[in-house]
Amino acid sequence: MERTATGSRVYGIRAFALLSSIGLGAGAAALFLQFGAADGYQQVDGVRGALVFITTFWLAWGAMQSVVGLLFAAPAPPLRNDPITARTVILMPVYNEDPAIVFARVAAMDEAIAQLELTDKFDFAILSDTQDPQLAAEEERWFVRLWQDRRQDRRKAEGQPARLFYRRRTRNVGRKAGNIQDFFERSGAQYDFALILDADSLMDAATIAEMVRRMQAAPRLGLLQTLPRVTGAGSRFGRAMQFAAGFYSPVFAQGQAAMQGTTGPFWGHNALVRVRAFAASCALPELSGPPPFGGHILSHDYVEAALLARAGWTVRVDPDLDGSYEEGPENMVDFAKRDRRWCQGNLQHARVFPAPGLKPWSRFVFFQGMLSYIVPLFWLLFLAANLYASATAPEPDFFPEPFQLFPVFPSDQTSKAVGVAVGVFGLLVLPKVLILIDATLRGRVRGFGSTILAARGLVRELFMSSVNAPILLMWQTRAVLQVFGGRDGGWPAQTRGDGRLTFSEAAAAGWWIQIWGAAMVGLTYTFAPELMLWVLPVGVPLLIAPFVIWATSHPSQASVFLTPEEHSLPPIIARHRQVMTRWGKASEAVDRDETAPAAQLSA
Amino acid sequence: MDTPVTYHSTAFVPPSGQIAAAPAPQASMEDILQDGALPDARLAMPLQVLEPAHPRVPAPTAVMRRVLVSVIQTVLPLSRGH
Repeated sequence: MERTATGSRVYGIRAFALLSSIGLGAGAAALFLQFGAADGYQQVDGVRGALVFITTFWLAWGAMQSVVGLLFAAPAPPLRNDPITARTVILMPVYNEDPAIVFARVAAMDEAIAQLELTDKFDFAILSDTQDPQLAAEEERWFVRLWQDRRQDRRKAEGQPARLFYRRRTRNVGRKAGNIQDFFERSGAQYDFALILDADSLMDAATIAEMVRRMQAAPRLGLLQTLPRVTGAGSRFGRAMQFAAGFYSPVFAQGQAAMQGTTGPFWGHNALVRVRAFAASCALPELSGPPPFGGHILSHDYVEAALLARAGWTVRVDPDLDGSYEEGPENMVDFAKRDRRWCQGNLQHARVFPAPGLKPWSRFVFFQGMLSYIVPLFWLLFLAANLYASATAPEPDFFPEPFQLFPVFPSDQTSKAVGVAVGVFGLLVLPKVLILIDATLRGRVRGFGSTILAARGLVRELFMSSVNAPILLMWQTRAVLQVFGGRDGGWPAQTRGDGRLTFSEAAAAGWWIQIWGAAMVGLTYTFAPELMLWVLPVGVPLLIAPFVIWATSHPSQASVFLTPEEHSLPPIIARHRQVMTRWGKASEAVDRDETAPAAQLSA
Repeated sequence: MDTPVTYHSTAFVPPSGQIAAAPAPQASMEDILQDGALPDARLAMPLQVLEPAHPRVPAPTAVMRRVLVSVIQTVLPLSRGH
């Protein structure tokens, strides 16, 4: 069953999205040029026009993915029920994580698989790269607990092979990609498929089984990616992101799926790979030169997807597969840390971009990833160029001709600039509104409480992201400059937990952003006061950055950003909690369920 | 609008404390770790070629430096004269 859209349909959708984005970018640039050149064309107007084109094109490209997702989404295929014959290993890479929580996830998924009577088809391997000796010792103790919990000793006593494995590398060569590669080289020949997870991943057994059936039925399918739902958020920042991921991402993923053809994405986890395809195509070499551009490939997943496609395998995302979960950062500082790693990884793809034999779409995906980190620089340049243009604008000349009797007033083209601003705002808002309408019509909105609750979540998320965006833009800009300056960000372990920050922690993270905000507002006030209203939406969040970072790290009310997983707890998450309770590691938050009328929830 | 909506937090506070009492293992920790070692079923993973032996493309840092120099050279003399 190769159900991937191919051929002219895919090219048609790509052309539609690309040409629409270019058209919108060019339209915005032309409109802006009329405004910028109202007092006579200067070189800086050309620069500003070019920056408007690039930034608007980028926004439009994002918006077009949702439009494509709404217009061209492939219908979900019927669930399969053919017998599972393949042997699959479920890989759980671990790096300095809390072993109790992670190993309980393995226990929960194994229990769910046992309930489907599929244990003889699935093994688990916990692949530790933990470097902290104390955590490593804890891992061994918790593996024993897991082993007993899943009755592996009885299995061994009955002469059956073990199904749960644990191995720790003392040298984490190649980081996660090296960890997975090490497994394949040692034990890969025993399996047909491997489900690659992250330490915070949880997947329903039925979803895992369905993925295996789909891969069995499609012999050229090399990788099948799910769209993981973000769960586990408790902070304002975390729950806003969780809501956005749950509400918008399925549509954006549908858009990606419609455009990707056989060259889909790999996001590094919650994906099934065909072991022999992966082994034959995805061993990553070290790039020449030192990090950040040389050395081990940091964002290996995109490269692995490109290499599978290069070898002729289909790489596919199936957004209809639910029951796939991950966790996200709980505060802006952790988000920025993760983004620093992703930034380096995406920019490093500049080295892989010219690799021989890659599919054009793979190269485009690399380009897109690089652009996503570079575009914020263009926004800042645009702000600076406007400031420069305004500060150096010539005085209006009402009598350009000698002996002129009547004055000539320069035409006011401000409405053109307002038009561009409204258009840009529309590109940010319109996809979200369309998704709300679509979710209402299809009934998907029920999982988010009701149309009104979802709409309120949308408005609040829009407000929060408007405030957060300038601050995140500053972090992103710093990250890009650090990478181009040759600084390696390393591989910090993920921070888990409730993520609450003290004000001094927030101030330590955001003081430099505040200084830039003050400089921006001060320069505008001094040299171009007429631009003040335009600068304030960016300047004010920067000025209060520590407060924003601090406030958004605090717990969110249950009443906002309700997601389907919070509305109805997924069985696999409930099972994970049961295991933790059984293991005596349950926490207070586990029982923080609330019931309230919708009217109260929407308050 | 008045339909009750249930909210289940999916948030998880990181636990602390000791491992709960478990049934005594029938084997020692060493035995279990040995039994739980990865199976031996080797598979070759040939390294992929991603860059030519003698790259013609300059390093991104060098490209960035060149771009910055060009931008500065363009922007500095940028005049608003007609």
